[in-house]
Amino acid sequence: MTPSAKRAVFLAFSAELTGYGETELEGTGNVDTYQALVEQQAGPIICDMFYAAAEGVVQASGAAARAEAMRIDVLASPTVWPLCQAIVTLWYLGGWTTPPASWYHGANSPMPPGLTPGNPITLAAQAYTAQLAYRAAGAHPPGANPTGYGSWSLDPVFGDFVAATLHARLKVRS
Amino acid sequence: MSAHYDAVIVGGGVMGALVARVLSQAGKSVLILEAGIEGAMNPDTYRQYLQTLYTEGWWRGLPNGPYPWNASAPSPGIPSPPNGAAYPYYQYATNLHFLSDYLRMLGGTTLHWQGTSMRLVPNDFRMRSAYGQAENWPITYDDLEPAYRRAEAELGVSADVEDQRIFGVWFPEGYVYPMHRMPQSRVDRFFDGALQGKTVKLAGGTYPLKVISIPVARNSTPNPTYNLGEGYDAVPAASDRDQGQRCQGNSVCMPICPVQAKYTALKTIALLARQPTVVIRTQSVASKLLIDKESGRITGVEYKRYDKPGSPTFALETAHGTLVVLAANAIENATLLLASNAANSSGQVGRNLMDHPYLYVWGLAKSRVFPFRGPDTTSGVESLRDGQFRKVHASFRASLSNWGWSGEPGNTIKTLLQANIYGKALRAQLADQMTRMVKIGFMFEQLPSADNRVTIDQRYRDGLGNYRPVLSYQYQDYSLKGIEAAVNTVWPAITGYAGIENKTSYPAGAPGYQHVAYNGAGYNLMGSGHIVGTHRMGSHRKDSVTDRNMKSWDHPNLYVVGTGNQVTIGTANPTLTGAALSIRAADAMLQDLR
Repeated sequence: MTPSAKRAVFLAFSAELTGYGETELEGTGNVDTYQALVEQQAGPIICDMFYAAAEGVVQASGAAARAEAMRIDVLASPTVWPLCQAIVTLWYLGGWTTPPASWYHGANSPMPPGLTPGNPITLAAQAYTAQLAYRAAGAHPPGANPTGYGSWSLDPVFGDFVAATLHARLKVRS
Repeated sequence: MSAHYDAVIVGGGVMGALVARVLSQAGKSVLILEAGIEGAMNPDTYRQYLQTLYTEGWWRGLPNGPYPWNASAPSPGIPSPPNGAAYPYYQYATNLHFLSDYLRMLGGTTLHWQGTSMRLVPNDFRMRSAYGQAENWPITYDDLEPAYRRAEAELGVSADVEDQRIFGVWFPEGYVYPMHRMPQSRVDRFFDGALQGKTVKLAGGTYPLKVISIPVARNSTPNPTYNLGEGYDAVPAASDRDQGQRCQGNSVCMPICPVQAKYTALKTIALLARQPTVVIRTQSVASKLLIDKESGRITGVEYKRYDKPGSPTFALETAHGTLVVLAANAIENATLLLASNAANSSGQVGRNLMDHPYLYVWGLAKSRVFPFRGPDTTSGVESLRDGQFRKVHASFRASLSNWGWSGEPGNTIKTLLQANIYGKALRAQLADQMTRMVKIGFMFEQLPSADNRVTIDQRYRDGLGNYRPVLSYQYQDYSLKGIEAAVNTVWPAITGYAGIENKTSYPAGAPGYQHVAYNGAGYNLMGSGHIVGTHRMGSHRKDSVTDRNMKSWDHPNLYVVGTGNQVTIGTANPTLTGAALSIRAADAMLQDLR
């Protein structure tokens, strides 16, 4: 895979994992930093597994095929799914903790040099300010992106929630 | 030959700054000795602390998360990398721990406080007479009322008097707070609507569950009728007048307000710095009071001045003042008095340490209430702060959290991922949960006890060789019975009236909490950061450390100010009361300096 193809897969797969659109994820400005962090933390052996699974998911046509690819290649994998959970956490909460040594061993991968299992990694402030979790609830990360005096006494402007709710309903019907 | 000041003040936090302000406005010369670094006073450093919140706040936690460890003047509760367990500072003489901390840095603990600034109610000053509990203060609400108003001006408190006239709290005719009350949150309106006219039974009496706005030292909209129509100028950030004129909804009073719309002592210190008669000396840790054996006068304050935080080297210097004022945190005041063998003829120094044991209850509302927005808290159920039940158990306030459940949204995300839920379903389910999360923080009254105390021990010293506080702490039945009433009676009533699905549980071993068993139930308690009572004032020298003006009974030129003077803790967050007491003490100092 070329670097630009990898980036495209990372972005599309992040969208699948987080439930946010590619444009919204690009808008955080964090795609490249997050991709680099994931690659550095996972190491080349696990990265190959990750990109293969991710590519399978994003290239599957239609929601049902994507869900099936997720079920078989991602959720069932003791290597890929924990990494995906960490990626969702990264997007949603702006934090990353180096995985446990057992996770690397399980994939027959050496731990990349310089890492300490269980250590929190200090990321740029932009990871904090762009946390998607708060946005999911019409809120904002404490201390960043203030919503203005008195805004807390009103219902939030809340397109995300409406869109997500609608989507969930449509899914139930289909 | 060192300079001589009218007053040497130990501690550059809110209490010391307010005393310095009153004295310097009267032309008196003042030296402030601050143990910690200049830190947040420097705007670049302030921004750096905010950056720390952004980059490491997710594991550093509250409330001292952004602030650096300083082994030369250690603070409790400073997180240690990589996982955020605090550096050790307190030493314990009991199995139970004292879970509240403070910050030793110019500006002090007001850097991380929430700004909640209600007054005590009159019966808090007369617990013995009213309810046969604890002791009466040597002063009454009426005595302190004028100082409360001055403290509200200095701190810039936002509230409406109509809300605050509870349990005999009175204001002079025509008084208004400097600024209007903060807008109440969506969460507040939810509770207010559900609890209108509702009551609860406590110890045989019936009490309303009334939600009111709480006073906060946080800039809102100045009240044009303040001070007989003069109005009030909201005080902006200490170092940037273009910031902080008004809260802008950053939703993070604690641990650091990005724009300084919240009062910090830095604002008062910025005013002091313009006064030629005020000298502020940071990185100067008072280690001993020098006492003249004949007269009992404090002849000097010995302090250790260090160049580099964390370095064990220091210069030993002595400051001289006509008056000496201890205005450090209540625990630090006690430690210094004990280290100096001063002011303790009553044996009360360090005793009667109090806090508000803090207990969360939480649940899911049926409809969306949109938490995780706005100041940490804007309202409370304040109608259980006084009543006949205090003959039997503690009173309490119920602070309505605008911030959903603790540990969120992280815990819900983790749970959903563990259930293999991802993508749009994850986002929708997270939104559904987060927007309905409600939480109340109960803060319970604690009675003074001789056994809850600060002591010192030769074996336990900090990086400069100064004493670390050794703490003994426990919860009395009086508080635990109040906790039972809150959890077994008040919370079920609230969930019933408001249609909340209770999600509260107190598993043993939950990190950050102290699990306490009582009558077959267990509770996960925290501290409130409301450190009170270690040098209480009184009417008699035999059972108190200071007189009604906060002057030591034993030393004619020593004052000890702040929340440590409180005889009882009541249920008000104590900073405003400590500020009022400090202003009152400063008036007495001016009489002495005449």
